[in-house]
Amino acid sequence: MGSNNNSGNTNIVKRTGGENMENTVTAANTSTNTSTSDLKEKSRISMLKRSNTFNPDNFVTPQSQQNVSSNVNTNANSNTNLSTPMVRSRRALTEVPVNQQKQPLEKQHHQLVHQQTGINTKIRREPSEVASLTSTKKRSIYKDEEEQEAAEESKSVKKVKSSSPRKWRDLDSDEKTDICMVTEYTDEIFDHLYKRELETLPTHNYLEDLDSPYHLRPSMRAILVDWLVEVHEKFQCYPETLFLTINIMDRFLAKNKVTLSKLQLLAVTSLFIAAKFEEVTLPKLSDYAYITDGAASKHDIKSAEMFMLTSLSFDIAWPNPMNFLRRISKADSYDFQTRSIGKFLLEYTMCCHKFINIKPSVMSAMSMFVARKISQRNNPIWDETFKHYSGDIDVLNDQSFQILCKELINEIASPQTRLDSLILKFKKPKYGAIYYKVYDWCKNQTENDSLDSLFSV
Amino acid sequence: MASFSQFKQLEKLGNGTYATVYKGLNKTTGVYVALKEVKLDSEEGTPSTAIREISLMKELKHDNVVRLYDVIHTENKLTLVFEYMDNDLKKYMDSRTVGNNPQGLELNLVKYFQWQLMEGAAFCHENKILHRDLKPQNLLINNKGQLKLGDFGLARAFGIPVNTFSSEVVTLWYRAPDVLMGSRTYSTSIDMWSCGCILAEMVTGKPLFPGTNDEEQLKLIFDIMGTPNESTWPGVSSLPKFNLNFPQKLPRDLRSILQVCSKEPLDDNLIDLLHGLLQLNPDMRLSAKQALHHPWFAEYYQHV
Repeated sequence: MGSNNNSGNTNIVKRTGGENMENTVTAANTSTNTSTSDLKEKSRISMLKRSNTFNPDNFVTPQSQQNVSSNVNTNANSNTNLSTPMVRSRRALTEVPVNQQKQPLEKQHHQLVHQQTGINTKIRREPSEVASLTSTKKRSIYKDEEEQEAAEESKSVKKVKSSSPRKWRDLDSDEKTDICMVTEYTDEIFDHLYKRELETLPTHNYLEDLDSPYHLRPSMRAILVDWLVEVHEKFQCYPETLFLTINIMDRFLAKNKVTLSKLQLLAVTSLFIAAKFEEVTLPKLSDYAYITDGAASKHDIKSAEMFMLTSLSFDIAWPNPMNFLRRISKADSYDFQTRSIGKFLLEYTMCCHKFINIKPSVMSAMSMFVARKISQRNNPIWDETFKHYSGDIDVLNDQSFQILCKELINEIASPQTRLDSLILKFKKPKYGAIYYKVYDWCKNQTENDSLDSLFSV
Repeated sequence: MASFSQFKQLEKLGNGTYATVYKGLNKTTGVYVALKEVKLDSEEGTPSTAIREISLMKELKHDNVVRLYDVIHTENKLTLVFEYMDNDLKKYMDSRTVGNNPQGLELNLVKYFQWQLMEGAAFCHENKILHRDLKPQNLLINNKGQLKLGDFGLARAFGIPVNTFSSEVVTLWYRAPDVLMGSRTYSTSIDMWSCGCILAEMVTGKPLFPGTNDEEQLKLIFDIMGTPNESTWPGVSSLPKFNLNFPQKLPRDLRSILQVCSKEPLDDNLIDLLHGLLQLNPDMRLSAKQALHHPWFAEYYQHV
């Protein structure tokens, strides 16, 4: 601590990355020691290879193995032994010895695979791919390109906006005195978020696109996100962190093929990165490693972290759907019950395999629209004010939006993938046991075939 | 695509919050850059400060924010390639010290720097980013008189409504009284207090509230700005570290305090802006957007 002494100010605040400060002091000397450190590095790598732990070169599956992985998953839906809790409380992380009966996801899945197909999923890399991956050892992650034109464009957009007449009620001005609402900047901030959400969307739904080289069985992702929901709850992180974790994981999976054995490493590393961006107090790396029950070591997670950050070009700042949900709730007078239902629906939407490349603002609008239906707040069904605060979503006339809402309701009534931990979580009194009410309503709607009437006045 | 060999590493410029910064030369273009090296051998993997700084700065493209050009990953370090700036405000003010007497800057220059600081801060806030470590060392300047916000190592994105954050942010001298009293629900106002301290420091050449610990820091602030109470700042007594035994002080005249250290007469508008930025109650503090419309800056916005 306190390395910035040239100012004479010794009271530099505590920082999370504090360990690095000592390192920086010696940075100038390291260049003279390169020969010895190179040797160390080499021996470390060869040790890694022997112990068969993670290194970025085998993180990604060659495409030739892809058919194996899709065969393997044919019956993953019927997989019941995965619903056993795999996570212990945070306190227990430091106290309780590893319980061998509770296996990491990978082992459980392997058992399943062997029972069902007998196919060995061990991966062998194509020589050409090895070469392409090693060449990325020294790589440029983020290159700033001149975006003057884009900037010009956004300036002109701003001018146009201010001149159009207003049909919605201005609810922001009521909150001018509350500094947490940052009312002064809300328009600029949401303009920015609506633009940004397009740039940080997974490139495609790798679960539904069977021809995609990155195709993954929906049930596999369900196992991962459901496990993340559980870990996230035990770690007591913000809801924003879970959503960012899922976004990071989906964006990575939409452009990288990951071997089955590395999926849990991918999930836990996504959470590791998301927490660093969102949380104030961070769980320790050893907690993350522990929670996987041996499936991922501390070293695995560290290497995977850099590999993923590089693959995503450090684009971690993402318009979290919680922002949009709260904004729509404003038009709903912040009704508590409706927002609680909305939060559950949003979490379900994020975890559900059908909505991977749907914009966060749309997911939030779906959740709030259905939540209002469930709590029978029908007056109005959706007006200009809701339209404004949802980012211009015209529910009553937007066919594709209506289809998405119907898909969500159908999914909750009769799920195609199991999300047991998520459902269990929202059966708890802590979350208002909201699941029962939502499930009954969705079931009722689908059985009475009354989904279309939801959107008529 | 840039690689590390494209840059020639020159002299060390200083230690940032979590990294070492060197001057560098882009050998292909002949352009100087600042190379910020982050070691990756930490126990907890990539420092969260680096993840936040890179992901947030990528989004910030503005004349008054230092530009991040490129990030290069080599074996065990990350190198952030930034726009090169000649100096920082702290070093610049130090260089003007005569003997042991710090000198304030010419008021014209103070105004131009403060205007650019407000522009940069407003841009960050519009992009839902809090800098959380504004101080003269982190304001970079060049020979053209441009000023840019740098070192986003403590920055973070905020949501709406703003979540609670750590109260252990901002270098002590520039830390807002609400944060010093343990408030964790701060927002853009946290940066604005720092901007007020910086404005006063540019005028006089020395820090306005140079405390050595939290208690002394609050005492120095109350000595000049007055001790807050429920009538001047509703809600202050419910802050975690509020103390009924704070010495009761009345606000002093800012102008007379600053005038002693300035060679030029201080005009009313400057003092008024300073009062707006140094409001103890964060709800009352001016925002960057409001400050940009302050009469003291009239000569700039009338041209726009």
